[in-house]
Amino acid sequence: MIWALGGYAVTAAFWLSYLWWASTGRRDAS
Amino acid sequence: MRNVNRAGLLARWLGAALLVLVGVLGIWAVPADRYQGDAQRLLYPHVAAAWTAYLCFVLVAIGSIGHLVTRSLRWDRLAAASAEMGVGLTALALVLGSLWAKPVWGTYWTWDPRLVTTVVLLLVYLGYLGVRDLGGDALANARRAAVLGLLALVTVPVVHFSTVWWRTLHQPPGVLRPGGPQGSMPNDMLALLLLAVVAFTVAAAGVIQGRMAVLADRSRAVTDAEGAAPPATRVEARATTPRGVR
Repeated sequence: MIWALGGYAVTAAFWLSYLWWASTGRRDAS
Repeated sequence: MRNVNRAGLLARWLGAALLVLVGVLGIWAVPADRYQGDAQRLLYPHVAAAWTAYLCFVLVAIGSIGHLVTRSLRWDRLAAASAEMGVGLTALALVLGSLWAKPVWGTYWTWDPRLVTTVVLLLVYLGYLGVRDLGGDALANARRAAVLGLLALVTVPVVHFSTVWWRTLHQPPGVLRPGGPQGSMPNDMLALLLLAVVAFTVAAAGVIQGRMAVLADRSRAVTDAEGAAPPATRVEARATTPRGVR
């Protein structure tokens, strides 16, 4: 089970990074 | 008020929720494989990452064609953002494959056609992103990237059919195969795989949209800077275009 849990943890870290990255970096359009 | 594209934001949140659901179902709900045990649970994110990466690279080609036909930088931004997502997903598929291979094959890595062609695919699109950062005139840069983005797509079918064309340790396609799905996968496992693909696709669409908005903002920032500057400094503004600006 350790391999599966490790893989799911890697996947979670990957998506958190990408989703955060895509949500930042915009100029404030106000 | 900050200009946020609601569709992209919705896709990112919906994708995140679906990913959590896939994680919960993949670890606790579906049964372990009879032969491979719990390690087989890695199939869901591994295959979903690979398929979504293929999809991203098809989007790179579509964006490339769109730019070559219309010369619009919007299509170019679609290609750029899709390549960024596809490269990450290919790397994720490789890492998850290694973590699955260790308990099942006894090794993290072997010089197998599927593994080697996937690394080639990763390097080709890393090269594509490198070429995008060469700088210079935005239109010339986009045109150069579009030609490469179109040619690079050739590597995708080579990776997918590598398990059919060559002798390999990697199992052949069970669903996306010539002649249709094989039907050997139990329905609950197949349903979760398809849910994982949907979750990855929605999240990837949200990321691509978000990155396109960021790239568009940066492009506008450069245009504004060039427009506001006296003619003598416009060349300089173009020459010092920040990394990643299209």
